[in-house]
Amino acid sequence: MRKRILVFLLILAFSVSFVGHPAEVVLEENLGLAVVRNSSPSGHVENIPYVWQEINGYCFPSALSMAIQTMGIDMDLATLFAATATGFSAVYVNLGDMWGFFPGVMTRQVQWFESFSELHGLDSNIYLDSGTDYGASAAQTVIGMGQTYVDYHMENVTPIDLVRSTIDAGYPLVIAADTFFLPHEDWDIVRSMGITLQAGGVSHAIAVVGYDDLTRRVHVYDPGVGLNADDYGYPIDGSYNYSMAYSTLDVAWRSAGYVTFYLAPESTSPEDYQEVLAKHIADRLLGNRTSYFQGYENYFSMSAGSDAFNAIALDMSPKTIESYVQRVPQEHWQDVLVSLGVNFEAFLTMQYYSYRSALARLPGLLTSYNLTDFVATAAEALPHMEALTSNMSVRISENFVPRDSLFCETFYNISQRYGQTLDLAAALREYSSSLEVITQHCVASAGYWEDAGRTLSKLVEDQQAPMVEQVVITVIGGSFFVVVCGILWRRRTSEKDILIST
Amino acid sequence: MTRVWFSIAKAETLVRTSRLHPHRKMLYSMILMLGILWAFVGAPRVLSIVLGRFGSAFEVLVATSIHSVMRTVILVLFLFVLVVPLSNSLENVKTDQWEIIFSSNVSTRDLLLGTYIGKIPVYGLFVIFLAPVMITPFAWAFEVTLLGQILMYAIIFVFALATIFLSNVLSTALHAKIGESPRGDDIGKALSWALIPLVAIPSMGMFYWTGSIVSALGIGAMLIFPTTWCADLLTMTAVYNSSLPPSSIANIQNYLIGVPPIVELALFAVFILGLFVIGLRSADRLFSYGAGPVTKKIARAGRDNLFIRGIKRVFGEQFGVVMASAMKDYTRKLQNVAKLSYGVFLALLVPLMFAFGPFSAQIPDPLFVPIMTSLTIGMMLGIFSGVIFGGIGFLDSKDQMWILKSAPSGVNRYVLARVLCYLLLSIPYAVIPSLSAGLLIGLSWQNILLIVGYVYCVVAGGVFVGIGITAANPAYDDTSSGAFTVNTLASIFTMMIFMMIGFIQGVLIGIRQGVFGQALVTASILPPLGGLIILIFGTYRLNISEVA
Repeated sequence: MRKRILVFLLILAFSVSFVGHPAEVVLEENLGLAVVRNSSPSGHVENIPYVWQEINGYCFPSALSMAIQTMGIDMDLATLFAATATGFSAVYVNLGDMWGFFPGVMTRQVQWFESFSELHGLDSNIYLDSGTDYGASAAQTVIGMGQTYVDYHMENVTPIDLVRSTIDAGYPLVIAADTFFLPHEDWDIVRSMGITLQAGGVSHAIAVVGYDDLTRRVHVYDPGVGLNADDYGYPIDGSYNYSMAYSTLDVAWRSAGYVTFYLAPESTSPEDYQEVLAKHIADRLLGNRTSYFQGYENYFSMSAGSDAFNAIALDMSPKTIESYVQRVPQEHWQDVLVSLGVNFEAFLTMQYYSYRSALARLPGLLTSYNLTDFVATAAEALPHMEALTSNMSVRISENFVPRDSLFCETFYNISQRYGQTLDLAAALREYSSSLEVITQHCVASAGYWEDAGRTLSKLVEDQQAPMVEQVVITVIGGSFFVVVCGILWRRRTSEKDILIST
Repeated sequence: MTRVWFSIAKAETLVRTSRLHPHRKMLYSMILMLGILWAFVGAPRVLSIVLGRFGSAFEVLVATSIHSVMRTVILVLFLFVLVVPLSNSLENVKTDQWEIIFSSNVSTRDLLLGTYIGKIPVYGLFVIFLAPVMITPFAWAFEVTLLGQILMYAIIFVFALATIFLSNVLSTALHAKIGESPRGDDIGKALSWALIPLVAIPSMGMFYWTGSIVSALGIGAMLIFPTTWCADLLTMTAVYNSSLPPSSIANIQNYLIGVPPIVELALFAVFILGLFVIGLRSADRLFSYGAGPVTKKIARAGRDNLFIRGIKRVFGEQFGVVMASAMKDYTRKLQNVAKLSYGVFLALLVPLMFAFGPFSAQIPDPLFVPIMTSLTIGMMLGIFSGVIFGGIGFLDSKDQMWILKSAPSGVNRYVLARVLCYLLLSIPYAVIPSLSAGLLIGLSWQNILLIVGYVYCVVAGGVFVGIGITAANPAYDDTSSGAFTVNTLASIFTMMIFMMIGFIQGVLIGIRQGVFGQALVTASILPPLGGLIILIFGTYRLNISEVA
């Protein structure tokens, strides 16, 4: 069980102070934020604002935030949760062995990376090497989401070339890496477990900020340093900025399929940026299936947005839990129960923090809307979401630590009770009132998400100009009505004439 | 006293189960038991082995597209159950026997109810044997409980009974209307062919464009069809009695089906009850049969149209008349026109299947779509022409044959006239699908001409084979004769051999050399040449035959 929980925790990555200035979404090129040393054969991007991920699982947006801020876009992690709508997105899956809640920031990252870049006028591209196991799997995922990628395996470009050219252009390069091979001592915990990244697994995101061809070393900013539960905290000693040999980077990067998230400034945000973003957020809150799973809307085992919380509520019954647990051999039932509690709680905690911070920053992004009602409604969900969370669940720890939290404690207690009685149904019955409380919080959260989504949707609709189609339909409909009335009137007149003539 | 409808039902059942005579009760009970065993034991075991081989991907596919697939399957099933008995009954429009029944004070309602109830034992067996094939994949994917499966079978059974009733009502109505016409039998046969495309379109769609058609059919507009209510009830019965978690059931209901099950159950019940009530109540009004004076329309010959006059002019006084007669004799029969149209319809689907179906995306070879489309259209029309230009269209009776034999070179001239007539009719039959295919695929005019030429050659081959075989073994106007069956099978088989040899050679040239034109020219040589030999042989046989 310990191993299972640790693996789960390691695939996530922990927490920044969510205080900051409202972002202005403009592209600030040549503002001198990024100073490039062009003394080839080395390069280094200076003045990169380091973004600590703080929560296990926030590595990618943190690395992205570093890259974006280097481009002059004032967008810290909290603002990024709002600008990508990931704070307002949630997915739930219950299919066979896979049962869990997934926070927006962890879901279909390729998709929101692309749409975010497009919305902010950034030139984005995903690179990977389909010749590696991880890369081949990632390629399938990217294709499945209807996105494209550049294959190092097929194209005339090498990963290190891309590092050089991106850094020479003045921007850090966000890459995926296998923490097992990253030299920082914080990742010793991964090495001690002997766990390397498997195809389809969740890798860690870092920003490569400098290279030196003479010493053959690269410099990286690692947002995940300081997540270790035993020594948790912001790496004020600057240890997040470390270097490694090209060969070390190559091994860590190759193990993650050389997956690269290339970003560079291209143009400015479109004029209807605020409307597009507001509509998108409303869709995400309401669980619009096309917005979440375009082409896969029929996959009924997945729920999204407010429905994700409703789905947890529906499935958090003794009967459903029992039938899920019974899928594995009986000797693992206790482990499975504890894992369920840990997983749900960790992801719900991630969702809670990203939702809270995104909600705080959204008014700064959607300045043309009066979001008072929306924020008030959406904030109603916070206490219910918080009730399902625990900070303990999102730190990297080698051992499972029992905690005083609703979700984890309930499942831990069920597991313990089952261990004593070997009667799963009875153990679940005994804690059915706790399950009921979880259900109530989920239903309440779902309700407020839905209300918030509708409020925002209405705000967008109210502000939209009448659509051309509506005008055309009104004109055609009106004309038709007039013509019909005219015909009826003429008939009536001629009938009268006949009557008179007779 | 036995009710009238019961006597009719009993008679209908006895006629339909005549093959089980003389151990009808025992054999029927055994078949019924076998059907039930098949439904609950055989089909689940066999299909789980077969489906299990496809792996979890198939399971996910079935599971995630249940509502759309169910709607499509039920729609297709509905059309089959509706159309096949209707089509079969239209093959023989004989209303004379009705008049005998009505003259004994039998109401139309009794006749309708009796024939319907009488059909249930036989059609019910079909349902019992076929329904498991449809139910089992879903039962397997969702682990539906036994109770759930029984409920699903019950829904299908009720729906099938209602559909058979509808088919019976329509059949009776059509018989009544068509029977008034002196060409009733011919119109019935033509209609029986025309009904087939109704089934073919959704069936082809289901098999070849599952993704797009299913999603298109899965939209809200489908909710107006009673088949959708039945399909949705089946879906909800399956999922409510499955191992699916409540969240999945909620998603299926809220997003995929969109209407509460209780509403669909009510609509379904109203539809079924309405169908029976309206069908039975309207029976005596809709159908104008009854004892009384009967009027018959007499067909009168009019002036020849421009085309016939043209034929007479082109082919001269004597042979032109034979040609014109052959042309009139073939085209006046609506069933022949229906068969020709059906062939064109099927061939029109070919380019859609290859150019826009699943193969187009999977096989990137630029020559694959044009070559496969051309060869398949040729193959389809070629085989079909062997059947529709041979068969019953050739000689009406033995009397006709002896009249021909008694004239100098009568047989040869008659065969030649028929061949030329059919070759003329083959022009639109071959050109319309091949031209459409060429335009749809976006080929050059030269290549389109090549396709037209190829298809025409193959169709000509079919004409030669069809006439040759029928001439060698005349079936006259009797579709139930052994000779007709033998001729039909022989035509199909011979054409298939000719086509396959040409087809394989064409494909090989296409693959190896990448030459479109040469592939088609090679594939088009054998059918007409081989056909010509069979035609000559058939004509010779007809000339020397003494007793046929």
